[in-house]
Amino acid sequence: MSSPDDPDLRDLPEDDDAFDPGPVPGPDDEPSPAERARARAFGELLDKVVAGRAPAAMPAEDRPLVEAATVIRAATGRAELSTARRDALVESALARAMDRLGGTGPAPTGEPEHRGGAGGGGAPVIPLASRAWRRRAPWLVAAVSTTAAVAAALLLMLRPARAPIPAAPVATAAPLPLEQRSRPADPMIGAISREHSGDAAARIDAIFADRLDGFRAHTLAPPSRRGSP
Amino acid sequence: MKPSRPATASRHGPPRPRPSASFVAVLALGLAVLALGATGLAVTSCTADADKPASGQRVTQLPDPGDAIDERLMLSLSLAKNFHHIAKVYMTDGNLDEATAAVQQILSIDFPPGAPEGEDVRLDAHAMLAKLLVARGKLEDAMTVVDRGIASASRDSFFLANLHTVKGEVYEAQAAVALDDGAPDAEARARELRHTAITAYTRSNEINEALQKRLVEEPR
Repeated sequence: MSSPDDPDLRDLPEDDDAFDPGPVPGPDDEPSPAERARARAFGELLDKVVAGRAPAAMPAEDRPLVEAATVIRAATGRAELSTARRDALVESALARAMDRLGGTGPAPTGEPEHRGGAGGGGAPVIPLASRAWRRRAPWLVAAVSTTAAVAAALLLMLRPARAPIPAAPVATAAPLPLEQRSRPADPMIGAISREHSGDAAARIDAIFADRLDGFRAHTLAPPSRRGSP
Repeated sequence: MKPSRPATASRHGPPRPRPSASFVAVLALGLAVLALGATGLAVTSCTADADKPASGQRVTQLPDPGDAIDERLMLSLSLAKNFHHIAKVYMTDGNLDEATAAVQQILSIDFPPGAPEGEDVRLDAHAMLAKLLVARGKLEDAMTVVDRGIASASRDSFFLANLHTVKGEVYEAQAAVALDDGAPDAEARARELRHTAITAYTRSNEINEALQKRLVEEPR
């Protein structure tokens, strides 16, 4: 037993174990017979657990120690499943995968029901990939739209200057016939002799009659035959 | 049992709120509309100019037939024709005053601006009016009318040539009056007037010849 004045044990509590009353032994102290007996009993308990013959009941203070020892043993790779247990787990995983792809086969014996369907009342299974697409779709649309907008703006800014197209000639129909146009009366009247110098009434009659024919042709003929000046 | 850490706690300062799905969807929709609008604008601006004439003139626009015979010209010609016939009737009756008034009405007709027929009819009316004034013995007025008519002409025509002929007739009438005047220099003045008349007749012939030649050479 160590002295209470030992600096290494100065901060330790006087009694930290409800099942082992008494002062806490020092690190270099020899184990007591009681400690040896308890260690031997716990070793036998661990051997039974490892061999698969765990007792139905064990002291409450031993249970967390046994679980810790089991985890440590499994972590070191020394724990192995039995062949039957391993085969059952593999078959269960395969059956679950086949059910997800296209069928509703019977669940492996002894395995809980994980899928939805007639037997299970849970929500339908949504593939993770589908969820991912649904989450990314708005961003994809935004990205494509922005790219298109930027491309359109660049096209608008960088397009080469177009040479001005000359004005198209005005569509002209057939020229307006001479008889439909206002014009000098000289060709129709001709030179006026001195004898006929005073026959202004006859000349105006001729001019009026000629222009009336042209006026009728211009106003009464269909547009396709009117022509243009 | 450990107390759960608050959801907003973060070891790197205040947490950034994640955008909700509805916000992202609205943002994506807005960007899509923006992209469609920009694309449409670009396509429209690239293709709209291709088919547009530079001057903006419509291809199917028909020219305005400004020199076509229209109702206004026909109305003016009709008025002139009727006034001439009125004057003719009055001349037949020997009523030269009314005949003169009827011919003067022709000079006030509002022909379409620039209509060649309007100038021809007015020149012919000036000639007719001068003849009536000569018949009435108003030689000075007749010469005034002839000179006014010649001054108003914008081009050579047979009607202008006729007006020069009438001017020669007025000069001849003035020479006859000068002979009958009995003045000492009446013979000399009459001779001078007759020579002046020859000048007017010659001018009329020049115009007629030039016009005849031009009409023969011009394609109809």
